[in-house]
Amino acid sequence: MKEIYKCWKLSLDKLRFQWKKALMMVSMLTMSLVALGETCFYQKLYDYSESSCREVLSEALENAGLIYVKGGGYQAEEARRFLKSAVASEAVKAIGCMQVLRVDRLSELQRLQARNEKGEEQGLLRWIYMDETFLNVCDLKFAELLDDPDGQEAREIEMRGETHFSLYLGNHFREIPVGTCYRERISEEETYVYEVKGILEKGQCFVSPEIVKGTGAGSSNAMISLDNEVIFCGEVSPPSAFWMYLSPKGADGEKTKAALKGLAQEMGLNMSFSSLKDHFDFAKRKGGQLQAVFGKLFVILFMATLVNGILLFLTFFVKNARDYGILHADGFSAGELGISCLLENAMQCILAFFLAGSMVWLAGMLLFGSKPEGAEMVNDIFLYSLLPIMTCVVALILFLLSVIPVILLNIAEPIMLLKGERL
Amino acid sequence: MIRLKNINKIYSNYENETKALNDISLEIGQGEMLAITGTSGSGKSTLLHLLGGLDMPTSGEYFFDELEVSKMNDRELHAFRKQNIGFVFQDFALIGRYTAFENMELPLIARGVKNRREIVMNCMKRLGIDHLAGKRPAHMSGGQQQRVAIGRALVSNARILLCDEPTGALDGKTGGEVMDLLEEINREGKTVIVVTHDIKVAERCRCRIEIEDGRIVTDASD
Ligand SMILES: Nc1ncnc2c1ncn2[C@@H]1O[C@H](COP(=O)(O)OP(=O)(O)O)[C@@H](O)[C@H]1O
Ligand SMILES: [Mg+2]
Repeated sequence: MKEIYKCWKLSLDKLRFQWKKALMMVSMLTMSLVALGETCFYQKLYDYSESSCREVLSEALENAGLIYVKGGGYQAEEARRFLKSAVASEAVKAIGCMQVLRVDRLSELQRLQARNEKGEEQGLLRWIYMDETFLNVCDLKFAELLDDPDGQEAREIEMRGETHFSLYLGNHFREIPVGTCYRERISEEETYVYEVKGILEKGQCFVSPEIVKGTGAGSSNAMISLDNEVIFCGEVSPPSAFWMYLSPKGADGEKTKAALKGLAQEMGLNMSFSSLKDHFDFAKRKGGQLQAVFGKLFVILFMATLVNGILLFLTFFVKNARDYGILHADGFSAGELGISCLLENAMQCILAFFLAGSMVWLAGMLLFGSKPEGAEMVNDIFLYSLLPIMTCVVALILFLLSVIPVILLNIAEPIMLLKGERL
Repeated sequence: MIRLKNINKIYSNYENETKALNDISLEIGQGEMLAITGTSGSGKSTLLHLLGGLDMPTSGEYFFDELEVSKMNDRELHAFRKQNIGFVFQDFALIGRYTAFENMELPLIARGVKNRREIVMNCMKRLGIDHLAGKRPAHMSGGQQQRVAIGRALVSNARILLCDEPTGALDGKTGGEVMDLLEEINREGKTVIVVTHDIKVAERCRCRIEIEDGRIVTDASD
């Protein structure tokens, strides 16, 4: 203990006098730890998402089929007709649509879980719509379009066919309390007034699309029937999207496919099949690639940090060799000088550890922390996976960086440095 | 206090062997002021390093009081140095990044001493260098630096001061002042051993030995 205290002052002095070197080391260490943190973060994210996804989707993951209709945007007349026909003809049980399926957001699907009459969760996905906007919202609120003073609501209502509600997501309702109205002005003449009716609860309905006209990259309106029996129409861009239906295994599934195919052919739609699972796997592969990039980055930075650290030490060691000799004559043993190098490295490592840790955590929070589940996920991953791994790697780096100074100081005998002999 | 018996020191590398010290026997008493003279390469520094426990003899015995230094391992040697020896070098060997105060504080830190500020400042006052406390070596004259270096050797209460050419880098007048200081320290009871090739410096010491090719050729005292 007493030794550590003695060396503590030496290492603090070294940091003080060689702050440029320390700064360089800390930034390199931070960079490699951030890369490591991100690698692990993505790794864990997919594990985390996949497990929660499987929990939610259960068999639906295998059973959800996807139809890709080329050019078949929700706005497109034929696409809407196709959907309506498909549902009306009972060729499919459910249809939804999906633009982007990001595996890292799959826990969101929890909201989409269907319930039966008794309010029990059925463990079956009926249909979902996912897009970027959806994925960023906290509250699903739905609103009803009201007559506004100028009475210009008719067109909107008409577009929505026989359904009763518009379902909106995200930004539009964030600040608007339930029970109050909200007006949307498209142009001077075009004004819509909506009443926010309530918050969409889990199982109450499924999903929806982007937003209202004029926002973001795309816009769409979605309608649902309250019995969860799916009706959907609206507009969204890009116009191509996946339509989702329930695809039972075996003969039934084939029948569904055939019926859909026939329907599409009748309408002259260009359609292809895939499955939610394919999509999921694809998204996972994409995620894996991202992770691999971070992984490579980490390896490169890790090596660079080590080489840099050791070279820096050697340079400064040669430059200040005599100082070590003098300190030795002053009464510091070779071991104590080694400990001072270790402490110096340790302080740099700890600083980098805190910097990198908070950066990774912050990045996670910025990306996923806007919702409580997201924040919980980030915290879980950070506390239980990231921190232990980062701690181990920091310890390893510390060991590798310090082993050479300690060995060198013990072999080289600071006495020789004092007497001015070469190593 | 110090007893050397038939000390030999041989440096060997691939091609040749150098006999740096050849059968040296020597006794140095407590409170002595001894000069070791000789031409360059005669073995003065080697002898001083041996005395200070920085180096080990190839053969022979070195007793310090009752301790047999020549049989010590690295750890014991380090403790021995820490307890008994203060070094003064020709080039002062101050650490350039530290102030005079910090340079003098280092031996105390290494020994885990608590009230360092007080001890260092007292020592500085005694040597008349307290006005230099906040200065770095680069801003001091050679004589001032050597005083700080002597202070550093004294501050840890070493019993014996080993000085390797302490005036070698100083002009005659400043060198004389440093010798005044060493004499004063000696009068206060410390054993002082000075390696020098300067006759004037050597003459100020009570005892002198001259070394040639690793052997003691003359042994004189006033
Ligand atoms: N580490 C060493 N390796 C080999 N030879 C050495 C070493 N140190 C000193 N010597 C040799 O020992 C002899 C005495 O050296 P030294 O004690 O430094 O002389 P001085 O201090 O009297 O000038 C010289 O011939 C020198 O070359
Ligand atoms: Mg010499």
